[in-house]
Amino acid sequence: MLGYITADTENLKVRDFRIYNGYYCGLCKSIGDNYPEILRTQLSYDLAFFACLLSSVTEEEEITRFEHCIAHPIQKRPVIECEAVDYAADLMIILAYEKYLDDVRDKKNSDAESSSASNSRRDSTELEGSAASVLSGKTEEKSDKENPDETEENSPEDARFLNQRNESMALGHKVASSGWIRTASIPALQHAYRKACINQRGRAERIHDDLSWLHAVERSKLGDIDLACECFSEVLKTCADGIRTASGNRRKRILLALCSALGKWIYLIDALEDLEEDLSSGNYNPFIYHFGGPEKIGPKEKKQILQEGSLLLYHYLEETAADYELLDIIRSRDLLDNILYLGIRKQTDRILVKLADDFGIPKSEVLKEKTEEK
Amino acid sequence: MTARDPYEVLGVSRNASSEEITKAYRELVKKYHPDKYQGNPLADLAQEKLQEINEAYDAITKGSSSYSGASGASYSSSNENTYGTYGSYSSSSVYYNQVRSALNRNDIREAEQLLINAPDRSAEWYYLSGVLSLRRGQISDGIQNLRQAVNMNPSNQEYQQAYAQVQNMGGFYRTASDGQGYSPSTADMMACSMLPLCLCC
Repeated sequence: MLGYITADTENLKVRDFRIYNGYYCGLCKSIGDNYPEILRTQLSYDLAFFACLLSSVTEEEEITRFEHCIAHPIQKRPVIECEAVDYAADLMIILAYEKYLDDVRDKKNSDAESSSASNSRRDSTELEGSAASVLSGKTEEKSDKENPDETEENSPEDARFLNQRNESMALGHKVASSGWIRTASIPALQHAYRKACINQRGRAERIHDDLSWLHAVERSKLGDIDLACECFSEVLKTCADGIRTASGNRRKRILLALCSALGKWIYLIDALEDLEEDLSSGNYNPFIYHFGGPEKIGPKEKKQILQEGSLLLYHYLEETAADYELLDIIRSRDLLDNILYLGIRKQTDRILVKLADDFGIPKSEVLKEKTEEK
Repeated sequence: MTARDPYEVLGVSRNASSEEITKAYRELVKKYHPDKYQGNPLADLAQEKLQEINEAYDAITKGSSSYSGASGASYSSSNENTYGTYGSYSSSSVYYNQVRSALNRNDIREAEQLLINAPDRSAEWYYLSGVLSLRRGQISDGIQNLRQAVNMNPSNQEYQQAYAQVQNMGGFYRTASDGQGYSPSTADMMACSMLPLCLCC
């Protein structure tokens, strides 16, 4: 879900490129100051955009420092510090942890499918239970002291949690074994998640609940694209909900609508990009189930998916832009314009063109480029 | 709501020529045009913006400073949140006229209830369901229903028009994006943004 909101760097003025990186570096610094260092590897420009957007909406005070860092030991670079950056850093940890849970769940599901389908459903709810346990504080302290094998001494709940936790850690290692950084990050991530939950006072739980809704829709294999989009957009709305706007509720209302539209775009573009993979792996994809399920997707359906996808993506781009204009943003205007009018459109077209090529469909049917002069 | 300086609203300097003022006005009207906000939950805010812009334009061009509502010379915003007005059609039954008038009043619940209890699932039913879905932000559902309406009754102009409108979604965005210099180049700068730590420059 990350990596789609980017700037069109070819068309960025150097000044705006510096601002963009200023937020990115600001995020990096905030993570480094508040969380285990290794988690700096979870950075993404999507959250830099989010920090920039939030800071522009609240028009809060920002401090820009010029600093060295490990990656740039020679020349000092601008680093932006503000509340929005710290907020985005917390969100980053929360979302990274949810992604980790998601990966483990997917791995469990694909392992369990070879044995029994019902087990996987139970496992995934138990996994969510383990997240809840982390939130409620039953964590490493207990397991450090007690040997997980001595289950008679623990309460049945603790034993179950410990077993799950060890299981999910083991699985987590298996999943992340493709990258040593990710493997090393997992304990740090779990610790950081607890801290982020405390910082955000209930927001992490809300995000977790929003994602649970989405998982329920996905598990039930509903072909209702709108419903799945709506569930995901709630996550982004919850993310944006934490800001305090100076000019009362109007700006917040607009920001939430913007995040809603953008969230739907993210969900759909992710679904489109994962289409082929989901077709072969059997994972849920709203487009696949909208058109009848994996067995029914032939070349004709693929074309329909692409056309529907293109329409929906551009609709939500338009809605995002329309909401953005109502914000009347001044700070970092050019950078945000670039991201919202150029960057994400480029991403959209990149994926649409890639799928069109894969399916053997002419580009013009998907992109609706201007052919005649007005 | 305290009135802002009309020059500030239009984004022009006090010395601006009438050409510049008109140009700025037209661009702002295009930016907040109701067609762009059809089905958008923030349509009322766009309407407010347009009103503010109209008042500012009138204040500058006519030298008067207090206006309420849209005036004749400037752009007057049409009905909010309608995909065209739904007059009664003689070919459409009495029942569906009720749905249309509910939609005209923007009474979503009433329209929904009427459709659930409708006696049939005709092309008209699919058309009005499509309109309702779009109004509620259920875009995929809306497209599907409109398509079904067109399939069941290909000669109906109203359905064709609505479906064509939906097929052109994103047009405003494309224009604005092109205006910002969009070019679908194949050069892949995305690799730059994917790096965990930005190591360039």
